[in-house]
Amino acid sequence: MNLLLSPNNILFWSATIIMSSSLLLAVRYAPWKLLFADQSRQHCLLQVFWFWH
Amino acid sequence: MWILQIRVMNVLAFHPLLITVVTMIFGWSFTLFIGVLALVVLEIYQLTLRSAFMNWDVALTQFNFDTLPVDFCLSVLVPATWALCVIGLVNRWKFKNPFTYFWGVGFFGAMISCFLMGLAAIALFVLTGSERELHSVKENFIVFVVMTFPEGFINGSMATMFTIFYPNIMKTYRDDWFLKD
Repeated sequence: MNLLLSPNNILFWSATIIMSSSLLLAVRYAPWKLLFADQSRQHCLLQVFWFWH
Repeated sequence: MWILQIRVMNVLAFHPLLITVVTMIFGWSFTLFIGVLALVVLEIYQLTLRSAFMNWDVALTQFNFDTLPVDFCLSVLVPATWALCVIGLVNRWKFKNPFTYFWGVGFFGAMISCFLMGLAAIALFVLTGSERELHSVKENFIVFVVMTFPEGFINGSMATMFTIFYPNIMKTYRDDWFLKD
């Protein structure tokens, strides 16, 4: 869903706080080592990307 | 049929989410980063689209990220969190079958996430007193219901394809558990 009109201040700041806190949680709990260690997933996504283009 | 007049209000726009299948592949945390990136790319794409119909100066004045947090909360955070809940439920279910994973999460999970997105939009707009957006969502709520099937179909077919052909890339798929017996 995309909002095409500018939101009011309360909506904007409420959404910003929710977004920031969820992104902080994501940074904290993201399995960074798994992402960089798993070569097969990167390879597969590259294959899919190549197939679509 | 061609005589039908269709007017689309210039307040809300919808696009395929695919957040459910991204959550199934990358997990909740990386899905949020991918969602933010997709929204930024979408905003830049809209800038080039607007520039085709108006001057660059006018298009640039409309280029802002005011709506990004609201878009993120409704179209990334809600479906990703819902997908995480459904994955957790399916992976702990006693009935073990891979179909429950890619149909239960990919198809039905994505269908319900589209509906939940509409409910979350109403809740957010009511709590923040956004009358204009609330009125628009209530008036066009049927679109969320109509969008459930295509959303479920696209996510479900992609989840099925990835689970069958590339099970090793599905971070949330536990083949040792589903195929143990």
